[in-house]
Amino acid sequence: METRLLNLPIFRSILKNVNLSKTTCFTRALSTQANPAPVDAAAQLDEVVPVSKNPLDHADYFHVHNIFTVEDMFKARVHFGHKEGSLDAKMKQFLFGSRLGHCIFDLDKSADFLRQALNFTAHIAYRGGVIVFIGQSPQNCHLVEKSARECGEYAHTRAWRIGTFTNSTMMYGAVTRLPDLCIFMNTLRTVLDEHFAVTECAKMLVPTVGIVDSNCNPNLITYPVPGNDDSPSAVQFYCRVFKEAIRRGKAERERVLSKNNSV
Amino acid sequence: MAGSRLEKIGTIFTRATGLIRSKAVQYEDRPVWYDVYKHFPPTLQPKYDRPAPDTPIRNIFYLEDQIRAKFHKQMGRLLPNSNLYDTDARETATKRFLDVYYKHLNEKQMSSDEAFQSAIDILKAEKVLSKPKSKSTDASKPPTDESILSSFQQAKSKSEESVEVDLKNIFKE
Repeated sequence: METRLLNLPIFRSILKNVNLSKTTCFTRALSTQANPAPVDAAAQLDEVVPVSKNPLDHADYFHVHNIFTVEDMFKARVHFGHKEGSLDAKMKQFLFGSRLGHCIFDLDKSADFLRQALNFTAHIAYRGGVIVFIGQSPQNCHLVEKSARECGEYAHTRAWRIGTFTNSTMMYGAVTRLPDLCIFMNTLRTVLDEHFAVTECAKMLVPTVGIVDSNCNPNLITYPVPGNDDSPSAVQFYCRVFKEAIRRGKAERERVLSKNNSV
Repeated sequence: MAGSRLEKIGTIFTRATGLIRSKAVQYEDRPVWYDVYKHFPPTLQPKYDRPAPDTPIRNIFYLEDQIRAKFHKQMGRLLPNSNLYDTDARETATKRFLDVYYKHLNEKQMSSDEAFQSAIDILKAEKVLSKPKSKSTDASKPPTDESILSSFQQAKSKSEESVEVDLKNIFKE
């Protein structure tokens, strides 16, 4: 895997920048899979201590680390941000650098955040939570809705009426169950304005997972994933990985439920 | 759910914890995500006023940028487009050019100008630099010498061919 990665142009080229230590940039982990969390001494004694059946006790119970690789992200063009002029100062920490005025995300960091988000999503799906995909870019609307339908969850990709969450009882004419997780494919409504649902989710204690581009504000998103949210290939990639995480969570739920019913 | 709607104070977890501690929500009725969040808290607290660390943005430059810039300047609009749906990471014309250039420079011991020119010649011979054909001149359709006038006349003569429809009895079986 590493040799294949090294063939990618970004890794082949030599970084010419005197301000930073060259070796740290390109001899980094080149991680294609997340390093599993270090196992402490107690957990290593598998023979003595039985492995917990509670999925929350495992660092990566649903193995979401192997859904994608950093190479997949690179090929899906997740690393491309907007131009420096529209950069939100809060997104600086996720950047690898600026290539001739265009922000480039650090995919190692993005992969880490994405895996946290996928793990959370899979756990919510496992617990039978309601998941809503939210996005407001017209060109990706059908793709997002299709992905949501394929994993048996919900989507809201049209114009957002203010109060859909905060005033749901009046909106729907009855007490309404709000979703347990909102996945934002796009946290902006227009080029400048934030999607209303970001604030509404925070107000209504609904956790959020969101793709934040270099012009977005990641602060209110519970599990932000820094990355390109505009390219079709990138959105296809996000839809694929979130669908897979939800599918794994649900499959495990089915397995456990059927096992308990049969006993 | 009942709760503080002041999203600018604390995080969703601290607000939910506050509700549970004040018995506004029973611990048994806690949200689905509460335990998951507790076990896997996000790296960054989702706080509205989380300060942004002052990270400097470094510039990304590569050794071959000069030659790449020269190539782009010379080729300009001859460079082909790339398909944004294509995730196969097909190599671009510039990448192919740099490969050939460095091969000539290092293996054939050419000077940089010679290597530059010969690489461009090779790319032109490989037709990497020609623009992709548009759909109208697709290989599946053989090129025809028809003028607009002749095609118009053909279409007209076709439409004048009598169509045998019995209008009177059109609804009768």
